[in-house]
Amino acid sequence: MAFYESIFITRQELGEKEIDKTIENFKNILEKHSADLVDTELWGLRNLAYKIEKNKKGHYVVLKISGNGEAIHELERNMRIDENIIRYLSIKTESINTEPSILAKKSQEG
Amino acid sequence: MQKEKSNYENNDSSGAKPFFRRKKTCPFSGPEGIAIDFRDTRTLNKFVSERGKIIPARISAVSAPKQRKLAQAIKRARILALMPYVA
Repeated sequence: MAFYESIFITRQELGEKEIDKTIENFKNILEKHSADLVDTELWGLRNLAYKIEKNKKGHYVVLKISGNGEAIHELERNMRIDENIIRYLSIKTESINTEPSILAKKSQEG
Repeated sequence: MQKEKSNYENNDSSGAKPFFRRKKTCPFSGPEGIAIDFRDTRTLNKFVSERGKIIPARISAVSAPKQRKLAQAIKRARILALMPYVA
């Protein structure tokens, strides 16, 4: 078992309900591959540094996962299929930090 | 005239410089070093030029292992559109 952080950006038009639905969907995919969704983090709607697929803003979501590489591979495959996801990045981490990161704190304040 | 000039140069190279430049140290190394995180764009922005290019370690005085980590973090921030590729 290893720890991963999977961050994805969705299109700006998406509502909170739709984002929650995609997170739920990914959670089911992970559980099917015996991986655990330990924590999620929402950074909210942020301005993108450059346009991605004509979007100037996007909702950032972080999934903190404990599992193996196969589950991450399957998760990334599904992220590519979902047209509402404009960018994703999965990173292997040494441990899972459940404290909110700098960006998450910022979105809660404002 | 020529003799004078060479004397001046000798003085300069022997360490008697007109001003004292403090040696910069790596801001990420040591017990009080800052952690490198691709989310922390405020810190990362200090290590890119106005155009968004990564500043070489010989100018920013970041140690070689930390410069590799820093470059990785900046590239990750660029992928997630937290920092620009070109500004």
